Amino acid sequence: MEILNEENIKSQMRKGVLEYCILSILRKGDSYVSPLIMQLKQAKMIVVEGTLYPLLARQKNQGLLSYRWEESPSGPPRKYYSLTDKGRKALEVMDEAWQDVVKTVDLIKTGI
Amino acid sequence: MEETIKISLGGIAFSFNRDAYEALNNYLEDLNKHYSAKIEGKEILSDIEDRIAELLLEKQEVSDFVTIDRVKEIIEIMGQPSDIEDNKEEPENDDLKQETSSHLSTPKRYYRDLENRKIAGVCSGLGHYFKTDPILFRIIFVLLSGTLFFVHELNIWWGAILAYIVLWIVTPGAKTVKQRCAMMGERVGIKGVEDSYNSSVRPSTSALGGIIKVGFGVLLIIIGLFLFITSWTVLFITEDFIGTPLTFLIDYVDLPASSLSLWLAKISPFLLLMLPSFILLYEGIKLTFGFRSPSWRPGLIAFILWIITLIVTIAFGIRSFAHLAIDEGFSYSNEITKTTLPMKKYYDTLYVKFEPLPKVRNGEELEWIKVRENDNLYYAKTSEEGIIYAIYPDYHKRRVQSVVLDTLSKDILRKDTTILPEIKIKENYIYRKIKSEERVTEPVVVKDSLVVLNPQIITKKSRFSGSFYNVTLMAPDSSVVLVN
Repeated sequence: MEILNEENIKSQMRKGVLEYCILSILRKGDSYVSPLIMQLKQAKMIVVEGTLYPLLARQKNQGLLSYRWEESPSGPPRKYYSLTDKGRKALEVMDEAWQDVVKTVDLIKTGI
Repeated sequence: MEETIKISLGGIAFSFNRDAYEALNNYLEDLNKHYSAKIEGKEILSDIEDRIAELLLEKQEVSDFVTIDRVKEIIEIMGQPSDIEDNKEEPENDDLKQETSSHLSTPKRYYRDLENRKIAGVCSGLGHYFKTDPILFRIIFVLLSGTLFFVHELNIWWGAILAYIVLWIVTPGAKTVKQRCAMMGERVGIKGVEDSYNSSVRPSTSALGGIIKVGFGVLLIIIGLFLFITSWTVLFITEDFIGTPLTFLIDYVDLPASSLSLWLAKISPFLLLMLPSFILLYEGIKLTFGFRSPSWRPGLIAFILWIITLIVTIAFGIRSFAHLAIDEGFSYSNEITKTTLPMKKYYDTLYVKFEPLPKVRNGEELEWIKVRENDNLYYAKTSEEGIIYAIYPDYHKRRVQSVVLDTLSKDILRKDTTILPEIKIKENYIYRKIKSEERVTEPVVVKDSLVVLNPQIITKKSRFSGSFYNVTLMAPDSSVVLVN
């Protein structure tokens, strides 16, 4: 067994959670990429922005997200992402899973 | 004044200082290298470009020059490809880490699939390895062992079963999650499982399209089966009355060929007949059960193979008949030589004798069986040489008028003894004319009033030369002909 790599563990956990976070943000309303990045950065979910794009592309290809082009008051048109029905269902599943994980970890940590 | 370059980024034109342009260009190329292999790579890249344009606009006007510092800042924000990669695709599996530092998936390995097995999971594992339906490999194994079982001369039907057992012994079964994922060529962990879940959901087609597809597939299977049975019958029904399948008769034919081309000549007609039914069955099963072609395209390979066998078969056909075409000036008749053996005098009685077939060969008693009624081909089974054949010349009798009415006194019949019996021999050959010095036995021997017809014995060693003899006895109608 390899020596535990702290960075590796963190990045693994972050990766799964990041997808959950993207969908959660979009549940509150459609968004283009800048506000999405702002929120994720504030929550310290991402360090570099580039991380986000492959994830978005993949979630879109999985049919969890869709996007439309909208004119912006300043600059070029923006890609607005929104949840699809499939995305909403996936999110519900993730919510449950998340609750389970939190409960389990709590239980174990408190030792009950 | 520094050199500036105008480029369009995210649909907006920016003026870059040369060094800034080069820095950005290098960065985008690095990203491109990383993502170009992925399907959504283009999209990711254009999203990133859009975002870079947006970031540029946040702190400056379109008209401002973009400086190297600004580009560095932006690259910092966006992250190096390695950072992006690390966050997203770092393989989770410790065991395989050393092999996959930059790969997106764990290396694929061949394992037996123990969860979807029929016997030991060998075929199921092959299915995963070639990303195709395991039923294909099951069919291949069953057909292979079944086919070879029926081919008596090629007593290697157990070969396919042995191959299976060897694969069973030498390959490990996929027991752990890691091994299962390596078997399927997917990443380990939650995401790997999720990906495999997603890929197992087939793209839905419209109901009508689906029905048409399945219907067409079933039709192909039916035609394929029919063709298969027909081809099989053509190839092997001869076994019922000759004792040898058609393809193995070629062993008895003296082709002017090396052993390799003999082997080709033998296998080609077999494949020529069999491949179309296999292709139809394969395509039909593919359509009906809706599995995709594996990357090595078995259907296409089978088709190419079929074209090759067609060419080989035609080439052998041309080769066999080339002598004929040249000798005969492309006439359709393959009648080559006509010999006439005249008898020296008139006989009241003529005897035709079919020389009896040898009763003993190499100290073994032979039991000759007629291949067909009214035929001149016989076969016998021997322990040393397998099946041997004997073929007699084709014998006909024709009457020549020798009794004439005396024209002066109409009551008196007169035998015209100037009409002598004759034996006409036609030698038809398919591809090789046998010179008389090569002949072991002459097909026809005439001794006074006796005509002896000798059989040609055909074995794998003394092969059939391709010559057929047609013997016609031209007998005056006043003489009696006794056969045997």
